[in-house]
Amino acid sequence: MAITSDARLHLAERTGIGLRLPHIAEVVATRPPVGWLEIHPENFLANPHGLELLTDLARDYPISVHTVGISIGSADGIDRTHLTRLCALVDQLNPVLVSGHLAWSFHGGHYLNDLLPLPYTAETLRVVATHLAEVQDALGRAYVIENPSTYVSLAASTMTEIDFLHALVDGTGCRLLCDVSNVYLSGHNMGYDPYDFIDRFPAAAVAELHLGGFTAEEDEATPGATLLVDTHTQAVAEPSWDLYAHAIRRFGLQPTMIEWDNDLPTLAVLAGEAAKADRVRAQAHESRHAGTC
Amino acid sequence: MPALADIQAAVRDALVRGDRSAVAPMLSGGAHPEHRLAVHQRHYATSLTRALLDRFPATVWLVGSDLVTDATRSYIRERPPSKPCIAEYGEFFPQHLGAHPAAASLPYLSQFAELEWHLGRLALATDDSPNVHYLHLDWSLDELIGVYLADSAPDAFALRHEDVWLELRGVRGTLVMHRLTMDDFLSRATGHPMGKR
Repeated sequence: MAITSDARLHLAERTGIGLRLPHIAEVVATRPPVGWLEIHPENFLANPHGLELLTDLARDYPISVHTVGISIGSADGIDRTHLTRLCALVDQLNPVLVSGHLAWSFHGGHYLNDLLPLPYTAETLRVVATHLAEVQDALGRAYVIENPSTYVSLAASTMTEIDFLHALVDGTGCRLLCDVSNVYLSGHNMGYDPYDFIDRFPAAAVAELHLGGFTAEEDEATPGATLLVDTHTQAVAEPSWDLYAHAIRRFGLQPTMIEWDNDLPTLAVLAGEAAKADRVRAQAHESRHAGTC
Repeated sequence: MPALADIQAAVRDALVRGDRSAVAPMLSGGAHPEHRLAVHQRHYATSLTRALLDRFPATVWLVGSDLVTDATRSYIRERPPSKPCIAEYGEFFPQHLGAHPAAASLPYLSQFAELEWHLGRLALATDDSPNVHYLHLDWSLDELIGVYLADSAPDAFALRHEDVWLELRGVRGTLVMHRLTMDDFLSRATGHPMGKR
């Protein structure tokens, strides 16, 4: 299921922002100069007024739907009621992208409201591939998979995250959302080189990039060390910007989105982060071409 | 090697019940990888507590955040969410709150929280979505929540123990509470969502 190249090129021209409910009235009133808007559908499924405003915005902005509740890695299967509601919202908004996480959130009838780590095994690969096919069949379009933020790994894993992503792409032909900040913080937390991770990422499958702020906390597993937590409570950190420039040199121009979900700043600050991503992307893309001519 | 379902059951038990014993041997990385799971445990508890406190601000205003926060902790443990739309989480919290030991002297608290739950849902309604609800109360809680909604601070407020037959309407943030006679209530509520005691 292809994502049209025209839509991707259009998105790649200007950075998008995550649209959160406290900002929606201001976005409707002021139409800020950002390239596109990404929403969490779970915030709108029980909010008819919010969906009405979003539908209005969809006339002026490309919309990307980024799910947090599909739980594609659940051994229990996909919540089909939720998938049906998601399909209805996607039909209404006609977004340019639909994406979700390589993670799980649902087990035994309990939704755990977090993106939880998967063991990278042949069984998980089968589960994710099966659910991905189910979601894409229901949506009638591509469902892009995002690399996780990682704090702890599962002893059952028989492959690395990057090998799992390659196996998933090879086995399903799916597209990937590379969250550059997730790569940086997971590399810090799990002890690998984030630049090497980007170098080994399945570049041809990349459909979108994310950038978000993280928080440094004391690592309870290793006293004196820090753990980087994907809180989305602050501006993008400098090391993530540097890694983003590297990602652009590796992946080329890609649709990019700024995530800021908690302790929300003013809309102007968020638009400023998007403008910074535009500058970093342009410089990195220019240097990529300069280096290849 | 544990199956995916076994791993997920163990992680679920650690998050919901705080029991890391089954999951600890399944984790790797560092001397005490199970401590890293605390990131997910904290997120589970704090995100749902915040969601419930945000969903019941008038109830917090009425009895303070300590009581409500304490009730959210046991609610999250006993009734984890069952679906991903967290805005819909908390439907049974009013009853849970009313049964909290610290609420024993506040017999109206559960009904107040239930009234707030419905008003919060109706505030997000449109002309095309369900935008009316009928609710029977045993106290003059419509007047009490009106004080909160008007952001007023009367010198005194007398809560009366009386039958209140309410029609609640909401569209795009505008809320209307209208008292009905019992006959009107029963007539209009036919075919509509109704909270009846």
